Amino acid sequence: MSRNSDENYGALWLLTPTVLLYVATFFVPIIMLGVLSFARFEMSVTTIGFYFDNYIKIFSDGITLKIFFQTVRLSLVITFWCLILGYPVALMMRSCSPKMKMVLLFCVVSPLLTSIIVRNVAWLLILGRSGIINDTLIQWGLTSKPLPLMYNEFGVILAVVHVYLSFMVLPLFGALNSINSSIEEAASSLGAPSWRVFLSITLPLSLPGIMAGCTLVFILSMGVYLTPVIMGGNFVLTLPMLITESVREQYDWPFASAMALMLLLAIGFMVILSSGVQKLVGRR
Amino acid sequence: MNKPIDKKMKLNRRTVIKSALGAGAVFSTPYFFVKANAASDPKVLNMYNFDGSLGEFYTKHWYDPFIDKFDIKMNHIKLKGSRVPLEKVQAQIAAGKPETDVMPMHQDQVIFAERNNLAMEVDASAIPEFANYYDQGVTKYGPKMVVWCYGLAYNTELVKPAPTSWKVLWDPEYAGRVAVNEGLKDQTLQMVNLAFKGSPYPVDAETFKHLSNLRPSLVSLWSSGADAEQLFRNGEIVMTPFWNGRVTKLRAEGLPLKFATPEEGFFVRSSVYGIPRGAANPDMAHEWLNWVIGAGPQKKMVEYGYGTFNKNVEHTPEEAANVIVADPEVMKYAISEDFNQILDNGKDWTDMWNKWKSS
Repeated sequence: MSRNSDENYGALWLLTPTVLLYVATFFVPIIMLGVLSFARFEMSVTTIGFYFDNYIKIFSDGITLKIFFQTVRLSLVITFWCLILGYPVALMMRSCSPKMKMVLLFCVVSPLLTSIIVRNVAWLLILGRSGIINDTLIQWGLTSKPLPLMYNEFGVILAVVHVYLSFMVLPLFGALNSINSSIEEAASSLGAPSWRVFLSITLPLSLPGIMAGCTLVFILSMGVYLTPVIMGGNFVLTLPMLITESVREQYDWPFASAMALMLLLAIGFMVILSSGVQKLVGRR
Repeated sequence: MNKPIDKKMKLNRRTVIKSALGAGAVFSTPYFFVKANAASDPKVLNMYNFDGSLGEFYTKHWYDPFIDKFDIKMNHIKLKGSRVPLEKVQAQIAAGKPETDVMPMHQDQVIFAERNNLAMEVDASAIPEFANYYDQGVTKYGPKMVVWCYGLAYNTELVKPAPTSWKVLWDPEYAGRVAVNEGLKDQTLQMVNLAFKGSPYPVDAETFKHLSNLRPSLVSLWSSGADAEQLFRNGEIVMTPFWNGRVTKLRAEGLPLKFATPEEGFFVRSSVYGIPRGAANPDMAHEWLNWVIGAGPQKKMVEYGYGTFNKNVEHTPEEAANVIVADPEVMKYAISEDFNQILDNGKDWTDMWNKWKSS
């Protein structure tokens, strides 16, 4: 056996703890979910077997599928706004001084350093009926009664974008930073206006970062739970809320398992789609 | 020349990994040992505790004095919200290791526990305090405690005159200033039926028609008592169906709130404190149940704002007004709930509820 293959085996051995961890905390639960999703739940009692009741219910109860697509739509909207708001921030981080870069990085990451409850209560103070925005608008005479800024989809999107922005900005910043600035300088020196340089060079070369950021934010948004509960006043329903409700209130593990697998499949599909697009972009 | 260095490096790498794994094992073994033994130690009681002020009450009046008196240790397992995660306990019982020795169950949860054989029958001879308990408070799975009422909480400065009917929630004057409970949606649905049909059942399309009429007025569908408290504190709402104990607590904070028992009827519930099957310390759990249903700890609960089944607990006029259940005149309006129906129709009601929400 060659020395290289010896080292490869050594490296594989180093992977063992990680593999064991994944098997115990990911693959085994997934298999259990799969088994449970085919079980039957009747009169509060679960019977293990091979029944398709839960999958049939997903497609026929007229609500689960609707909420699934609602979750996909909400995730797409959140991803869109993260991209729109995150791209300029990443661009600025690329061109500013190291000190300013640190300040911007801190601002972007700061929501992740705060507890979700504290963060949402802070939003309450800003967006609530007697919050800063509504008070100011009423005092300035711009509105006679408080605007509904939370306990609706707007509130949910705002609060989720606030947190997930960092997951968009960081990959974008990495991609933008890896662009050789001499290419842009060459284009400028040949007379290309700055918007042309951006559209022809910066934007296409940052596509891997855009794809990575969008995939990450979309996946995270598909699993968002607590923020819609608090900021949506329970009016904005997502699939994770339905799964939680099924387990916590109905004790219906089989149906919750089927919904969880559906969510997992959707996320898996999104990852495959995203890597396909990245490959396509890479070839071009 | 390179080989000895390479060998040395390999040796170092291996040594480092081995040392790290060895150290990890050495340091983690006592932890797992202690954890494994804590569950079966007869001197350690594993107890669920709620978050917020009710959790503080439990610690101060129901847990710490017992620890001192019986010289034991207690593990507190914090709960989010007001329901024990019975689905989790069920999985733990199946695995042979429930994390708790006592579990407070809502009455629909008692039926679920019975059907799935999750709770053990208590040994009444080990709970002599049952002799001082009203019969309604004694079940084969344990005593009922924390008697709470579900009526209408309202801001006395902004809701005038004082409400006497659930229908006031639909009053256009309070549009955009009211909320209902999503956490115990069965009570919300029964409340709508009481308001318009005079009976809590059946939950049907007509129920949701009335809810749809209420929807433009709703600020939020709150999911825990803490959420509703916050809505009152921030001035988001002036009225919501709520629990009497929470109102007592908010009044103590200085909020101008009162609890009304609507003329169509209101709800009275309590929790059964049971012992999960396979609990590590059933003897100590019996000991605690016997101690906690005694007049002393139960009087503390009355002072906090919830009722008791202990015959020997005296109420001051203010306490009687707060706990509601001590006033026979008011209790005439209490309605009896069908918890079998609530449990068995829960899935259908939830589907209808979600359809209504996403419509």
